[in-house]
Amino acid sequence: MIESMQTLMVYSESGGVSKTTTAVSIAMTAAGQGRRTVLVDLDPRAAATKWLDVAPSGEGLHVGAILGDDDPQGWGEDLAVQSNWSNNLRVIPSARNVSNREADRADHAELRLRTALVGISADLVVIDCPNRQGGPLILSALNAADSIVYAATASSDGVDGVAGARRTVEQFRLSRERIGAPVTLSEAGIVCGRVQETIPSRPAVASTDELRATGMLLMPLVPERAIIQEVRLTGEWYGNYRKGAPVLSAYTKIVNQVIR
Amino acid sequence: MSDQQQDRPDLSRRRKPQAAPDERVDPVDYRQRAPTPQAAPVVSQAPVATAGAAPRRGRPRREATVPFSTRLAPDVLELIDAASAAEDGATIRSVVEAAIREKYQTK
Repeated sequence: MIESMQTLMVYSESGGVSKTTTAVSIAMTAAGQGRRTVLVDLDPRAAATKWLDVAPSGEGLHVGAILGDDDPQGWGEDLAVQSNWSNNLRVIPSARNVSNREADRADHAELRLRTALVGISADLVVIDCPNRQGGPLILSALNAADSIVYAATASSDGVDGVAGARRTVEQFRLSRERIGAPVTLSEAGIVCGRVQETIPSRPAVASTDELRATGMLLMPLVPERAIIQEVRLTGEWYGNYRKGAPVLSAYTKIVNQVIR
Repeated sequence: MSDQQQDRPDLSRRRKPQAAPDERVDPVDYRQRAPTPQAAPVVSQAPVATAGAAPRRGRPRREATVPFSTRLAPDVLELIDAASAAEDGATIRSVVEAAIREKYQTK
């Protein structure tokens, strides 16, 4: 049996809850394990693009080109640029004006990302989503993905973002069922990042308990380390540094649970 | 099934990627295409006194600004902080604007 490509979206409706850290970490960890990986930066803030310090291969040749064309067949392969972090990691970058696509209500626009990724040379595609309550960008990801990881922090924003994201996914499933379309999207779990390893605050404990109550909290919790913000400034992979080892270890265990 | 049917699509004929038509339009300036104009329904109106423009309520609108989201080097940030602290009434915005005008304004 031929193993098919997995497309995983990382999503939360809250901002600043480790979506990009989780998406980049899963992508890079999988690449380090030998999987041909493509990271799609779907966020107009382009945080993953900035972190990996990649640029589109030409003017406007970022994910917005895919979302702005009604026949982007094969463009995923064309627009993926090589990362200098790993030979196995490529990136489809984002840009500020991807935000224009949020006002684009063309028919079937939500299928363009999926179309562009068909036939791409990859074992794994990871989509870093923006923090939106549904909308064209999230619908593009939902249609392209076959699995979803929710990103959260141990905070009320983290819990709220997961709850909203799960509601969006549930509504997406209902819409698919209503038109008799197959629902192939599966929830892989919740990653809880930036967890203080010292004595946690009561809100943090309560938030973690709420995430655990969903039955989807993936273990281990990812510890907070200053190295993450430092490497995001310098455009480097934290796995290259001794200080990043605890975070890398946690994400490696998570990757082994969420990647087929 | 036709004998003429190809095994697979000819990838060499595939369209090359191109930028979205509004690639150079900043999200701040983005406008959807205007809807087709429609004839306004004719409504019989009772004669009323012509009123002037309604007075504006609330706070005046803020001036339009462009979010400056480019990451700056730490030494530049320090220069901005020092300049805005040294000059009475100076803001980060006024310091940055003055510097850019001085360096790049052609007239």
